[in-house]
Amino acid sequence: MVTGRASAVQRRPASKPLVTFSNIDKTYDGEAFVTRNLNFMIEEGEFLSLLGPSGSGKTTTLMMLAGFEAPSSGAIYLGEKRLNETPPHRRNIGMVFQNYALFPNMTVAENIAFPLSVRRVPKFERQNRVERALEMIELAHVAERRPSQLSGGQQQRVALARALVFEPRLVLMDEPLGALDKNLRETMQYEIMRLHERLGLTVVYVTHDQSEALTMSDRVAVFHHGRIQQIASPKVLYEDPANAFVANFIGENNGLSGKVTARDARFATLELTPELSIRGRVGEGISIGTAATLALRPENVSLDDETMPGDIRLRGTIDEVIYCGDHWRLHLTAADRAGFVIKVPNKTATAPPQPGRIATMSWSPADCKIVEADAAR
Amino acid sequence: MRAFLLAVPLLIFLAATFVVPIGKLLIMSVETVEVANAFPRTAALLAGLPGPPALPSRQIFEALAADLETAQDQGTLAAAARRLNTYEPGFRSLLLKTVRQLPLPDGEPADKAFQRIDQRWGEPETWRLLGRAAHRWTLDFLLTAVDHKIGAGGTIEPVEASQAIYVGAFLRTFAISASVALICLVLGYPVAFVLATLPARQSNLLMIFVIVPFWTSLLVRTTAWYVLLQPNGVFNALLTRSGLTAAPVALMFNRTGVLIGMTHVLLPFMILANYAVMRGISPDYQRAAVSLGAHPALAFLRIYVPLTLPGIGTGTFLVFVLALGYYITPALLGGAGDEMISQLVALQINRQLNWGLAGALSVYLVVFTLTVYVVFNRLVGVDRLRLG
Ligand SMILES: Nc1ncnc2c1ncn2[C@@H]1O[C@H](COP(=O)(O)OP(=O)(O)O)[C@@H](O)[C@H]1O
Ligand SMILES: [Mg+2]
Repeated sequence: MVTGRASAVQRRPASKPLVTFSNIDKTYDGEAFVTRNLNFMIEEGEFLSLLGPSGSGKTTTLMMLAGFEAPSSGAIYLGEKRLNETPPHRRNIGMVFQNYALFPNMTVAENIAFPLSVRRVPKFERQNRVERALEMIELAHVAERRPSQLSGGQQQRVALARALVFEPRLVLMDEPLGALDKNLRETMQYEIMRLHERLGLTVVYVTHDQSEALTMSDRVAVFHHGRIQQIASPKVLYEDPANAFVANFIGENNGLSGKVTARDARFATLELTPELSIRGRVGEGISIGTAATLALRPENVSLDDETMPGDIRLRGTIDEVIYCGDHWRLHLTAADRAGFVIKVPNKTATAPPQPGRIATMSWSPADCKIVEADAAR
Repeated sequence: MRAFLLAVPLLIFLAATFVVPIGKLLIMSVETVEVANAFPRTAALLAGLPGPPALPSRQIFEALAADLETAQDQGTLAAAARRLNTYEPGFRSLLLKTVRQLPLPDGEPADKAFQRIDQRWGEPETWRLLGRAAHRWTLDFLLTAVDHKIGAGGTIEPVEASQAIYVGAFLRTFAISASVALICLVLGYPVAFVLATLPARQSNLLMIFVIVPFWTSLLVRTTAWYVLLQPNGVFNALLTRSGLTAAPVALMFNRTGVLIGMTHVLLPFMILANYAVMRGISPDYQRAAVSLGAHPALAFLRIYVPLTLPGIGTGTFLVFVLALGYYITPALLGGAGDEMISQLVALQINRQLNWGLAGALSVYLVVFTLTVYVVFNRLVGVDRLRLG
């Protein structure tokens, strides 16, 4: 599930911010904020994903960076330069659209030549660069075709080549693989990552598909209601979610909610029922008396055995057992709440768990976290 | 098959209202029966005459004398006289004058008697025209409609300049229709663009202004312009009162009036045709072009406008073709020099009762329209011909 990119961790130090969002608010109608208080940087060479449910403001953020929407307040910088007043055609930012937006009245080669011809690149050089771009996407043989004669994946690659051929400092992609089927998606994910690596691109990538974001990105910004909930590497997002929204949105979570009754520097106690309290690592913004949520991944919970000293134990009734090949997926009722999910490795030695049985679950306090409940907004 | 049955009432309706009348008009343009019906014996004899025109035999004079009498009794003479008059003004009076002196006095040979009544009966040209008119099938209408005729020598030659009115009318019709299409494009394209890019609420409101004229009778709208454009009408009042012009400007009974009126009536077609295409164009194309470095104006010209070509083509085609057949608006707002072909067709039918010439003029109009259609189909594709 969580793959992340090895390179992400290594490349981190010493790069300068290429893009800076500073206190960006955006509202279309003067009342509802589509994005609110955006503050983040994108480093040179970074692959940053904007992840969030539909309507959370990802596209709007991208459009403000591209220049098609103006921030209601705040500033965007490209390098040292304030970008707000630069019209979109002078920003030199490559952009890939969800439906490719290839010009249907031009051939593939003309499409790719377009950014060069508007920049008055001499004809000979233009041809050279178009040829190189076509080789890069391995589509030299369709140069003279119209976009409508290409498959979805080919169109996507042409759109990429067109956005890259003028060597922009920054490439934006808005759900670029949204229209492709699953296999093609994976191939294209790989291809985009390869190009990112090879050309040293800085990419801002919008998606609502968490596995895509986790696989491809150096860092992911999780959007909800126009705010960035957390911006971090995939590993940190998954293992150390900042709040209940992130914990529930990314991967699976046993988000039991309760009230905080104690906390110290490292741990907090969450009261689920008067009889039952659970200890876990303390998240940001947790104070005694506030509502909070448990962040506990199903695969971190063991069943019946394997208890270590200090582990947390919780009894529950098995409601449902689903066979998933390499593991069993169990739905239990625990602490008076149905829907507790755990994953049990499928070892030939052990008998399959039976529904209706009372089971004891256990996990290490280090594997669970007490995080802020989903803020109303 | 069942689907076909559902369409049968429509097919019958189309056949009755469209195919049959047009077919009849086409036949009328090459058929002339008045003279052959009125003078059957003369027609039969004249048809048998070979060679260049000459004075016919006495037998034919006798046949004509007999035919004239029967025709007058049966009431077919008037139609034949009218028909002959289209060949040669004065033919009608010749026939009427002759028929008044019938029956011929006994003993006088028919050919001598006819030439005594009027010397024109002694001219081969008179008989040539009678012979032509007596043919059931003729190209004369089609030639007349393009200002030509078959001369005395049997060759096709242009008519006298004073009678050459139809080619000019065709060219004028073409010029007016093309101007109207162009004006509609210039005015309608930006409106369609605004309609297609505005948020839905404003766009729907504006759309009402475009569509309302559709719900108003053509005659009412034209009459409204009649009121507005008069020398002492609203427009001229505005112009003179604001000091833009010293005296009222002639805005009607001239080409200006025709163009204003027709543009107003046909503009919705242009707007709707373009709007239908523009609404389907994703704003991403424009954005993509701009993100690739094109100035918005350049992106508009190089990307957006080419994408709207089907709309431009459809709108221009619709307006042009509809304008070709316009009748009421130019009749009310135009002057003497602004007659369009449809007005001349109507004139032939209503006043001259010359259905043959009306048919011939229509044939050219239909053929020309079909040509425009074929060219349009080649360039744009008829499947693009949709509104809304
Ligand atoms: N042009 C616009 N005018 C008004 N509201 C808009 C406009 N574009 C987007 N919105 C609203 O802004 C919110 C965020 O949209 P968007 O940025 O497209 O979300 P996402 O890309 O995350 O799905 C949505 O509620 C949407 O309805
Ligand atoms: Mg979006």
